Amino acid sequence: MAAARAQDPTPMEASLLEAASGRGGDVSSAARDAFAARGLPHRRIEDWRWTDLRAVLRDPLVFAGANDVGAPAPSTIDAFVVAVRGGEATWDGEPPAGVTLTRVAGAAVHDLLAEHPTAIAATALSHAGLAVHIADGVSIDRPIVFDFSTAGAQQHARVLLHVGSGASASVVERHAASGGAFVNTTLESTVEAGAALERYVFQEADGASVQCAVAGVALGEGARLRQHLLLTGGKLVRMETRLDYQGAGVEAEIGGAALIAGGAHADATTWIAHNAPGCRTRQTHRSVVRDRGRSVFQGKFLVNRAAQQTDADMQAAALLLEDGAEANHKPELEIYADDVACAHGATAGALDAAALFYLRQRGLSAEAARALLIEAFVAEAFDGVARDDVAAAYAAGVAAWLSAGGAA
Amino acid sequence: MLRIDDLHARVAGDDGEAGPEILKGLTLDVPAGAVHAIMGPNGAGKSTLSHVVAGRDDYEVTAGSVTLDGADLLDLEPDERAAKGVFLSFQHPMEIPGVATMNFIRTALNAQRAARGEDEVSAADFLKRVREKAKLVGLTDDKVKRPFNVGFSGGEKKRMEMLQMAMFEPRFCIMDETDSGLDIDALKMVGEVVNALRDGSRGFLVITHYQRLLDYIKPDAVHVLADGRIVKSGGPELALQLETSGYDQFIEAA
Repeated sequence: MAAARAQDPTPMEASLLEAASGRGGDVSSAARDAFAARGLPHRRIEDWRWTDLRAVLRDPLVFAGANDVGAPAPSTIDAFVVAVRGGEATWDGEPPAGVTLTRVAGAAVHDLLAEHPTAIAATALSHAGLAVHIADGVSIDRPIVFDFSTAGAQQHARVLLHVGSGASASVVERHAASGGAFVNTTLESTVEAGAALERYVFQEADGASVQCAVAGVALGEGARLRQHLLLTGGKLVRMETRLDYQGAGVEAEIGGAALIAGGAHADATTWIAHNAPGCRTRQTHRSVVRDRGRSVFQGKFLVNRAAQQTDADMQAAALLLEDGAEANHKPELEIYADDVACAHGATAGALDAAALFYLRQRGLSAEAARALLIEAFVAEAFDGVARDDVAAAYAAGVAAWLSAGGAA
Repeated sequence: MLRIDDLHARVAGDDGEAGPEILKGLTLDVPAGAVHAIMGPNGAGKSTLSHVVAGRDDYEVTAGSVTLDGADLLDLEPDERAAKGVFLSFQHPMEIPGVATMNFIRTALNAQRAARGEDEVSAADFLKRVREKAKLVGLTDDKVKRPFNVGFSGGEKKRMEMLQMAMFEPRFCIMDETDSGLDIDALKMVGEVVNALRDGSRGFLVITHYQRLLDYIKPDAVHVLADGRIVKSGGPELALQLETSGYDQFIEAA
């Protein structure tokens, strides 16, 4: 018997529970019980108050088959591509040397995500996780793409990524959803001592589709993480990151940008736990929002007592292009160590009228001037992207949003 | 060339409320090829005049006309005025973080050319010209590779204005206190930029507080602007007279 529910499940939740009961194994059944107790996250949970997943997912939805995929991924980034289709990972050819891919059923949930509601749902509902193992000391030049593109159906997927000590790798995640899809993914990762991970996320969805993704990354001594996200939202989109600095001297650079057109919603939530001394975090978030769009940024730095000499800075800025645009930015510091340098800043405003006039006096049209200023504002979220092809893909994503009416 | 007739303008107010009137019947005619200087006390309306001619929507024109070569300017957007050849050297140029200087100048130049039905400047020609003009205005390669005006001193920002004026070769240049914050060497540079552009057909309106810029740019006429109107016009000697006796004599006369 599953744990008691606080309230009646919605038709969607009931159908998910029924689907989960078909999955075997201890991990899946434990996750099923946990899901039965919690259901989908909703606005009465503090951390989800601006992103009410339960409210937008009331009706049951068919599970994706292998063919329920969206547009093919743009091929501007030379990469080894793993496509997650119908809940299972597929790939062509041999992975790069030093990389092992295996499908694993019933893998234990990463400690960081054990209590996370959408990770619990993914664990209960995914067929098999994909385990990606990067051997110690290996440097992978070519990025690995995880393509979660889904159309008109729901898909739940787990990727377990282990980066061995002293190894380095880049992963690119493409989250594309269309035709009323619901895509729920987790990345559960451990980056061992001295290893380096670059994680590049691209999200796009139509106005009928819902996506939630959560990445939990534990970092060992001297590990480095670079992460960038470009979100353009959808009916309801949340791309969450949870980091745990377990070893001393971890360095992380985190940049996120959300470009939100009218009616779209995107949530970039980050939770970064500094649990060891001498770690360094630099985080930048940029929201650009049109009328009736909503951009949520919840950024939390937790600095525990052991994390002396933490050096952490978070800067979030929102550009509200019209009166009805909404940005819910919530930077938060929770500090228990006494010898740290932590700061955060948050600003919100409209485009600078004086700068617009200056650019137009030089001959730029109103739209071109706005586009230039928006690009400049957003570009700071992609400072330091090490790979030219990825930087170009981000620039192209921003330009595409602007030319689709973002700067009109 | 630039003809301003009985121009009245006020600060555009919020929610339909009218702001104070700044220009109160200003009339001015700068013929083709001429350099006219405008001098006047603080608050006379000098910067408002430059912004109204360039098309800033913080001001509302309530009467009068502004034409360039006989064509109305007031109905045009700021970028359309720029394409017609109106250039404003700003008194307080903007810093625009994240905007690459070279890319911006090239985009602006090509936008103006496209609006006039001219071909784009090739990357190679652009680079050659921008190097040559940067040298003329005294900006190093390093400065023109930075984000636009970011971390520049006041004087460097004025040099960047002169770089753009030299690059765009506008039909009509309005220089709003370009000399403020400049030392003697920089004033000389401004004179060189202007004199290189003087070709008998291009016009200039030089707004300044001080006579000394006019040692390097010989004006054909000098006007005194006070309380939103031209109260006195004369030759270059008028600037010297102002330098010694101040504006009061004319303000009282007005």
